[in-house]
Amino acid sequence: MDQSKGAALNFAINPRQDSITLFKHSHYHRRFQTRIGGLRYGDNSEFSLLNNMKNHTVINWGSSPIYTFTIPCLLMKSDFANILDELDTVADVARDSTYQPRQNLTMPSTNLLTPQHLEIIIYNKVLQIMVREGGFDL
Amino acid sequence: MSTISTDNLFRHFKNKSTIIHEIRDYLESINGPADDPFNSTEWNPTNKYSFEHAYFPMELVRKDPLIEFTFERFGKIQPWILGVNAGVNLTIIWINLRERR
Repeated sequence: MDQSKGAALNFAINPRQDSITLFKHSHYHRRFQTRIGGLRYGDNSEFSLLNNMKNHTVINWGSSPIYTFTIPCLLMKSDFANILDELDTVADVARDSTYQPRQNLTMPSTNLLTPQHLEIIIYNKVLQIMVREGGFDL
Repeated sequence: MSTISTDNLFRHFKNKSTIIHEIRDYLESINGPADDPFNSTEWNPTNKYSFEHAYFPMELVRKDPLIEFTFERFGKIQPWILGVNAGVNLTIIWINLRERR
């Protein structure tokens, strides 16, 4: 078990120009493409919350090492006692749907649960607590 | 193809660490020689990935309110500094590998 495989608060310790973190969003097999989102840390130690359950890649093509602060964020039992009832308010799962509305396939529902729902709920629950209780500002 | 949402992948906060200079001083104190910074007893490799990691000291955790909140609120997990060497492409995937015996 790897305790960092949830949400993690990170920031770059040194300014970095020659590196990037690429999150894989989904595959687009027809054209052999992977859809990615590029995370560039700020140069002034701005905090970022990462979803470490998503596959991602760090590329450092520069000539110096890069250093990143990281702390895993685990939910307490009291945090997830009613988490399934909070799905509508905690996470927007529809935005990450594979299918498009015109395809007439069943869209993600708060009454149906998949492991991917859980992953998104956990990540967004940590985000919600940081903003509401911790004073983090989006 | 529409633009993807990164909301469930990562989020940026406006807040910054208030102790960045102290962290950089600490980093300097644990690094090895300039041409081989991870060659010191403070840095260790991981079992799975091609990055090095070093403890982030608790006295620094207590100096930054947002880091301290995160530590206290989310399970009191030891923070780390991750080091990725020059010229490295590191892939982090979520799979369960068998424990090393």
